Amino acid sequence: MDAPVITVRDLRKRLGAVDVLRGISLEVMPQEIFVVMGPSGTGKTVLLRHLIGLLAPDAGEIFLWDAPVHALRGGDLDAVRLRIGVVFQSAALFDSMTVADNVAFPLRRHRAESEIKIRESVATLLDLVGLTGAEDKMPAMLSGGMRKRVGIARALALSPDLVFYDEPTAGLDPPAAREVESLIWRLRRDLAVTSVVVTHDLLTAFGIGDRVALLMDGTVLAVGTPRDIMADPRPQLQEFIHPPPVGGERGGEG
Amino acid sequence: MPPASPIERFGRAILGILDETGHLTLLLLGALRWVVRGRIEARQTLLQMAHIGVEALPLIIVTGAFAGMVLAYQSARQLLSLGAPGFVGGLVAVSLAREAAPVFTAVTAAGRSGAGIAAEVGTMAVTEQLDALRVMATDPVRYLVVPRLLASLFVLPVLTVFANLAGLIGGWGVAGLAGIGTSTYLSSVRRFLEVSDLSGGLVKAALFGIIIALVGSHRGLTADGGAAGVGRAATAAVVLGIVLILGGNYVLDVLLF
Repeated sequence: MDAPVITVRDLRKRLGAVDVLRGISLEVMPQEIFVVMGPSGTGKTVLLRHLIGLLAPDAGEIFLWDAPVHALRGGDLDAVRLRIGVVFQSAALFDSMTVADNVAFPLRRHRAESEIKIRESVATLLDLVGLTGAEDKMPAMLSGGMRKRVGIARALALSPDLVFYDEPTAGLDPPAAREVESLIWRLRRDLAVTSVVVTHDLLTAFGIGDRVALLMDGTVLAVGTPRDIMADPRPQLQEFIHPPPVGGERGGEG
Repeated sequence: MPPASPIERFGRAILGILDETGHLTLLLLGALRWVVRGRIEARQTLLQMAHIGVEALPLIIVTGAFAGMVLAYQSARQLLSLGAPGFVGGLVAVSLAREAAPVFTAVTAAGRSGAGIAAEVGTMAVTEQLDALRVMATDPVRYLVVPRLLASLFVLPVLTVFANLAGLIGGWGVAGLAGIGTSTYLSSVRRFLEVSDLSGGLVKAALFGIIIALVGSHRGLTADGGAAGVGRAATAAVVLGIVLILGGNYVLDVLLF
């Protein structure tokens, strides 16, 4: 069996007076779409920020491949980061740059390539996310879904082996959300990347996840295929998956 | 919690200042590490020079001219009554070179560029753009702070030269209105103004440039809390920048002149 791409062991983090992560352990296998799901405020984003080296844990270990991300800094951390791509919740496009310059940013910084070659790469990447011809637009001119797709193109620029998506469908209307989901799915199929998707959206989680980890109160409540999770009878879990309707049971009248 | 006593508040303010100074020093050292290693973003630095320097020039010229006019007006009033018109040009020139030109330039730049840096970097902080830089293996200190620091360091002395020139011209105009002839004014400038007055002022300006860029960058990098946080960062950058410039000006006066 292949070695895991991500290994997290007993990760703990306290922010202010709150224990946000209370002993998280999980493994992500090569080329799978691994979804971290859970209600808002359960530490999903904090977990993600640890995985990409933006936060250091109080205790525990994080390995991307065999690199101990929890202990790396500076140039060593950057070397690992060149192998990953991150799609931020807000897309985090540089708003002073055109779409093309955003996508070209990692290429210009980390690849000694000619400007012609870079432009070709940008065109290919934009084509991949279905935004051919958007090169000269400014981020402010784009819809939320388009910004997200530019963010994905930028995250893929250095051909990463591992891509993180933070709430990829948050704030998008349903058709745009489904489009982004199918893009994540296609990218895994065509580029053989490992994908980690953080989301509170059940549709996204069960729609594209090979395996899903349900986070609650800073711990992993369950990990498994969407089918496993849905079949898990524990009430906490069922309550998240099938929340009771607002205002109590319906259908009693009429 | 009971309300803080005045002594407590004073203590907290002192701690706050020490804390801030520590952070600014660390940021400066972090930036210098990139400079020493020669990792300078030339394009970004030139862009910032245009922002902080070229675009500020009209404002600096106006500020400098008014400073020279006020200096000439006040000194002419006093010195003419003493029958000493030959001192006006020198007084204007020396005051401008040592104090008025570098300080006014720096305070103006703190209001303009310091706030601008804090707002720009702060917006990047609250919209995850700094995180995006980091995960793309790009240190925000190298990419954002070093260019602003270098640009500000080099551009402030240049702006100060223009403020000096504008001030001298403004002073000449006002002195002329007060009946002091051009040749009297100019010979007085030549007699009293030393190269060390000018160079001391320019050294000050360079140090003020460092303060402006550092304070703006630090406030921006640590901004949080959305648009309101960016606003707070910009305001704090201006307030703190001006306080440090004026305080630093006193220390530098003692050291330089």
